[in-house]
Amino acid sequence: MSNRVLTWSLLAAFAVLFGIAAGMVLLHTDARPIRSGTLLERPRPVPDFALTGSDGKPFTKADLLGHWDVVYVGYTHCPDVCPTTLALLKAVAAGLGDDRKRLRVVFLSIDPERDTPETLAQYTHYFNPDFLAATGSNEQLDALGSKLGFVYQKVPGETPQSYLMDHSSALILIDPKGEVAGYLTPPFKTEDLVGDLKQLVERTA
Amino acid sequence: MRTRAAVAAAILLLCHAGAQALPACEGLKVEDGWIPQAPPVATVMAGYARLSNGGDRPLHVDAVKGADFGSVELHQMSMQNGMMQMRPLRGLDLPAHGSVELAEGGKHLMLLNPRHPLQPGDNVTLEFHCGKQVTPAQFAVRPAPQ
Repeated sequence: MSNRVLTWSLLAAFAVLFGIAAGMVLLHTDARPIRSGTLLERPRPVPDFALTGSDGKPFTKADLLGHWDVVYVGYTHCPDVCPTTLALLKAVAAGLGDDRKRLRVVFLSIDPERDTPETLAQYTHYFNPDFLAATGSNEQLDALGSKLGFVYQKVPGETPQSYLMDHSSALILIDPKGEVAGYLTPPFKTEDLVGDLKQLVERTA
Repeated sequence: MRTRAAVAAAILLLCHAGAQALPACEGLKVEDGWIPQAPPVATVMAGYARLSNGGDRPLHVDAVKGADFGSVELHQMSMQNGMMQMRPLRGLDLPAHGSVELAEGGKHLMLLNPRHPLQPGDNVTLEFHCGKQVTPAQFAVRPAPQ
């Protein structure tokens, strides 16, 4: 093999390697798809926060530690999608069997004007007595929303009390360290959620 | 007291007669009406059904009413950029021989302020108004699906 051929071969090999490396860098995303949504490659820390739990006591970051959490953002004056999603989560919890002890469902109300802790407790426990619920002032919810990755918006209705709330549809997945691990996105399928959550919960057991 | 009761009865009868006197929405059929059971504390419930127009002319349902609720609204649920949005609808349009599905996550009835607790097995009547015509339909309360 002449030197010239060797040089060209080496250059070609480098070019290929460079191409692969560049591709890896360019295609690298910080999220990994799972059947029911996406996992973040690097879980995102959640700063301390203080909301009010459905038992009237403070609901803080400490309540998210030591187990997985699935946070659902909604409100009780929501006739269609919120009860449907909570009923789905009830079925998911049942499908998790013993693993459900390592995962909690948190219904986070973004309608503190109408959702008192008592209302939230009665509403959420109707679906499953183990489900937790919390809410807070708009300032507290806005601050937490920017960290957890949810948004909401009040839409005026015909009367001051009949307003509607737009809210993020994704379920927020929090790992046992209290960090955002990923998002579960609609359309929700019970078996996909059960499969993914079982795997995650058992991996960190 | 007796007079007052008699007047009340007469008013009730008149209202009833009034509702009865209205002709049904021409061609409108409301089928499989159902209401998922909601937590007792809930002040809103959803109503689902399949509406079809068997007639040769388009139909416009402009209001839905029900004595078991404070009010009834027509709503459209949709997902926009990851946000769940609910918006009131100004009625439902049914083309000739067309149909509209009121279903979870889409168009649905929003039943506000139930006047009494509704349990699976209960049946309520909702009235679908098309201008001066009205079609009553039965809605069955069922356990929420999972």
